[in-house]
Amino acid sequence: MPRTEPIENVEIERSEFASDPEMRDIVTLFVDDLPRRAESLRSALLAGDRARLRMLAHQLRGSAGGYGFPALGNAAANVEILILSEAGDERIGGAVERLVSRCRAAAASDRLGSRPIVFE
Amino acid sequence: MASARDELLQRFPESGSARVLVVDDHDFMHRLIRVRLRGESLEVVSAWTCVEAIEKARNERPDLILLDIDLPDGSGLTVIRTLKDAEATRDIPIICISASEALPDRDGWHHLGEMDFLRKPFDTGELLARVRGGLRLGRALRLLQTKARLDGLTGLWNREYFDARLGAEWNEAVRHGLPLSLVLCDLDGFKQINDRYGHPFGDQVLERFARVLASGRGSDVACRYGGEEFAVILPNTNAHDALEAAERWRQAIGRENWPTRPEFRASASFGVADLDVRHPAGPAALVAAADAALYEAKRRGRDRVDLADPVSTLERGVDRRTG
Repeated sequence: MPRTEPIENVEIERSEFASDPEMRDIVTLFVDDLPRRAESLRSALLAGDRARLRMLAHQLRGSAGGYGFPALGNAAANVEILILSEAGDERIGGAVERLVSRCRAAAASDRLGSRPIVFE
Repeated sequence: MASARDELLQRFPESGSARVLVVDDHDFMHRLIRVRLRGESLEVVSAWTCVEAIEKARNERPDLILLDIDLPDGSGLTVIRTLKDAEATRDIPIICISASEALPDRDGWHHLGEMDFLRKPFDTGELLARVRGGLRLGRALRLLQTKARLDGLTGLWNREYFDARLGAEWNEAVRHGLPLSLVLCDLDGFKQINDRYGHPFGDQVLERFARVLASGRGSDVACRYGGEEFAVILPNTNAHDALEAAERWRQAIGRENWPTRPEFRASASFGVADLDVRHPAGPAALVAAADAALYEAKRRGRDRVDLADPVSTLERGVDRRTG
């Protein structure tokens, strides 16, 4: 089960596979990519580009669980489902913000390791 | 059994790993699947789009495809349809992968032949079970298809395969202006062999004769035509060389020793026909010509090789069939 705990007002989601030697390297790569991905989600939202937003959320929905971040995957699924059901901007915006927070939470998990991570 | 065995070895290599094509538009899925399949000694090939998936399925001939159905340049459904439409890729097992709740029925996914479905996120055990199952299915399918084209007793290609292969070789020869020969042959007095020595011995003679016919060049296609009649397709071979090959086979079966029946000597008659590129009349005409020559060899006393005269024997062959 993933451990979630509040650290500096950010809820941390650690990968279920953080201690799996086979997975460790690619989980690190995945986590390192999350700030960039969160940034892309934000800019797609600002640009009102729902197709791109959906694609980004869909990719995260598919991959996050596989990397041991089920909460992140669920947040991404939520965004995709809202876009597919043609929900209003406000609801989608809220869901994207929650997804971005989830990206933060997963990325912040790396702070528990040795490397500092920069997140704007 | 040069050709049948070679193809079997090619289809079921004794060593080397199976190849899996992973199609997904997300780099992190490729990384994840590669890591999860690491212990399976598989070769993993990656594609990111529908176009690339189709191209790699054709060129790399994977044993299994893991296909994300949501791709940037279209739906995985397009990939499946294209692959199922082509003979070379039709039987590659496909496991669809999707993060969506379910495959929409309206797209007719379930009409597209045998395939499996895996939902993201998947756990490793589930992925491995599906991949192993898919590979097993593919191997079984290929084995079944090959077995269905082999003759059970002799291990040569069967009649069905002969018909298909002769058509293909005939087309090749006509298209490229290459020679093509066909040898039809028949064990002499086979009914008497069975009557006198029993069917198990008759089977032995058939097997031994099959081995003689399969001892030729790797490109020769030896088939059991039916009963005690055999056919050998000789691609890129003119009548002269085909006659020599048939003569070698005739002598070889005559030299065979039969320890349980030392007094017995087997013999066979051979009819040889070659493609007349100036008047290519079709594979059926080639068979008719070889058959007529074989009939001549029987009529002239058996244990001999006769060459079809392209025109007259063809007519005789046709006469025999209609009369």
